[in-house]
Amino acid sequence: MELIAKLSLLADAAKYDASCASSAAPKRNSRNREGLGASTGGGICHSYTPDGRCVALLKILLTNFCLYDCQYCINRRSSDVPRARFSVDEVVRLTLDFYQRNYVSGLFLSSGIIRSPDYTMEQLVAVARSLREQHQFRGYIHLKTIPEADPALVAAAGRYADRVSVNIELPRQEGLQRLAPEKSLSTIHSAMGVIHQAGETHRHATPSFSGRKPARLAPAGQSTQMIVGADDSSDAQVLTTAENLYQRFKLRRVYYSAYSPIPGAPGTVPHQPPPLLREHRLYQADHLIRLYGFGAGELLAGTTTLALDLDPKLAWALNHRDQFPVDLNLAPEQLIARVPGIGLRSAQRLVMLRRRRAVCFDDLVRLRCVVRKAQPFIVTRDYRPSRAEPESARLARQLRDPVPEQLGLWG
Amino acid sequence: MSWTGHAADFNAWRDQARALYRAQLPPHQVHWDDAAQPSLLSDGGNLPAPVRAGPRVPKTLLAQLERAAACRIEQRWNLLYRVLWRVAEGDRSAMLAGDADGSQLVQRLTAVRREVHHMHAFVRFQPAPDGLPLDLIGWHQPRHQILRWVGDHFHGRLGRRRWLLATPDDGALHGDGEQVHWLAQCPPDWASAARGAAGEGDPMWERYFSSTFNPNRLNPQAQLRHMPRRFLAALPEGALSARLIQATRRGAAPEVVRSGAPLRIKSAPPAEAEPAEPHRDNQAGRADKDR
Ligand code: SF4
Repeated sequence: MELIAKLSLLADAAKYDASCASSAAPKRNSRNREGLGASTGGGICHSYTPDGRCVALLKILLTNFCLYDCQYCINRRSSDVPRARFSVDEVVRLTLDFYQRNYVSGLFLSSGIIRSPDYTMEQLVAVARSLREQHQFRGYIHLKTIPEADPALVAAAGRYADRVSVNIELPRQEGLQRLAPEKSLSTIHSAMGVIHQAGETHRHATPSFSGRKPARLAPAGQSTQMIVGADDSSDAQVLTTAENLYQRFKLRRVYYSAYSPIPGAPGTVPHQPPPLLREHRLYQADHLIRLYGFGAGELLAGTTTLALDLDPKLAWALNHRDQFPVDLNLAPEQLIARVPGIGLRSAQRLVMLRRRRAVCFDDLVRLRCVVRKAQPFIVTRDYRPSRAEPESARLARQLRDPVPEQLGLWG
Repeated sequence: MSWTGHAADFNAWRDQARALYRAQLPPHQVHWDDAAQPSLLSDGGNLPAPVRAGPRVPKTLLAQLERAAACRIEQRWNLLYRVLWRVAEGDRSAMLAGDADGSQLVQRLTAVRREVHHMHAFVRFQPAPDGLPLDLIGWHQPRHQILRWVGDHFHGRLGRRRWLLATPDDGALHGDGEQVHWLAQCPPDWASAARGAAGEGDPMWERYFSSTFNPNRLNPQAQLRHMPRRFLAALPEGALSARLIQATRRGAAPEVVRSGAPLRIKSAPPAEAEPAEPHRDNQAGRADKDR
């Protein structure tokens, strides 16, 4: 098969994985050195496809042949898609070519399981090793781990890759058992544990791919992906699972991928996608958990579903009117960042500003906060919400985001 | 007394601004022109006589003013002099977002930072044609004068490769494998090679782009929100995206969409409403920062 035909099939097969980040790798560059590539720590999106998703890495499978039969996956054994397989060298050449033309900042390589989990994992590691050792490639590498592979292979992956990850796919064992019979939550957890441990303990012992100084394995940490809407897990189950993973394995990111009905899907999975808005709300909630110090329980406040028509921070604030209004001239930065319409950065800027002079209402406008949402919850030198501020239900109606009707039905 | 300053670049502005501050000319008495007037500039005696020392400002402010000056807008100097004056007189809120001047300064810094980031992202290199002492050539049109801030980035990525990155009106960067040089005037044959390369497609990249696109999640607004049209249109994926969107809306089979080929329409397509776009401000991997 021609290379371009393989690329077509194996990029298509990889596109259901939402992760494409190229950030958090240690700084390195190829200034006046043999080889190619750099990482700055930040991520770069080199293009966007018409689905609005970023292209940061060459995201492909090594092969879409697979021994497993995960029902939600287009590459499952029983699917009748055309199959293809790259050689190690083909992936290496494609990566270097795409990189030097500035299409991407590196490689995100995953694979269907062929022969055995160990064999498959060895192939993935061989690609990364060749890039790093033969070609002195210093761009970003993200390898997907086969959970059932030998932990030594997983550690080897971490030696070459910036990020090593394993997809949990579904939040609960019941779902996995029904839809991915060859997988199990405990195997996935132990693979995550191996990556986490490797990062912690090998820090001192192992030389980096350049052989110069000891480096942390998989320095950009691990991430995972959960498919939303392939089984009937609720938002609460999805978010508590995510929260647990962040705590237990120090994951950098959990990605949520609204289930995309695949061509020729079996009857065990829905034929309709969940609303993309649900995925969006999960990302917003996840963001609040990771960066703002919210707990999943706080955001859900006793329910199992995030509101579709309110962003989770606003929904939380409406449920906690007793904590408001917050005086922007007195409150700690963390609390200011909990005000709807005011982000972390604006909170920080408000605190910097108030060291010089009192904060007034127009400052929020100039900081481009979402004043409409913040207004009922704040006090400034020249503004305080009226005492007759409407009760939460009415406020919710005023501040809600319009939800496209057909999307509200599912999920 | 009032004064008109003339500055074509930051250094020229800084020298005059310093003299004007020392002559104690406050911002409302100074007006700045964007064009240099060499006859005036060379005549230092034209500047008013100093009556005091200064201005004393934090180093970070000078760096910020220099970056803000890269922002190509009319009247770029008036704000900078106002900020300089206020901070030197002890009012540091003039540097902060929230303040009327500070907000404008921060907006310009943000615009410059974004444009640098856009350049890191959307520059494309093609193999250089035979006969030039170069490996890779690229062509890019940044909105602001930021070329000097991206040299290090591409040097770090490309190592010993020899490359040229040319722009229509801000010269070019040349990495010779060891150092990066800014060329005020790009050699014409290099520039035309770079300009020509910009229009060239790459079948591998286009096929990758079409195949990694998920028609089930069609959302052209989100694409444009992240990738301004001026960049999209300048790249091969601009025309390709239009074809992908059309094929998806017409319900073409996945392998047809993936091929990225234009649709051959046998009969008139059924009239069809635009699919409702889900309201999404973000995409995987980037949640809204400021909500
Ligand atoms: S293991 Fe399951 S999810 Fe992974 S490629 Fe095979 S079928 Fe798909």
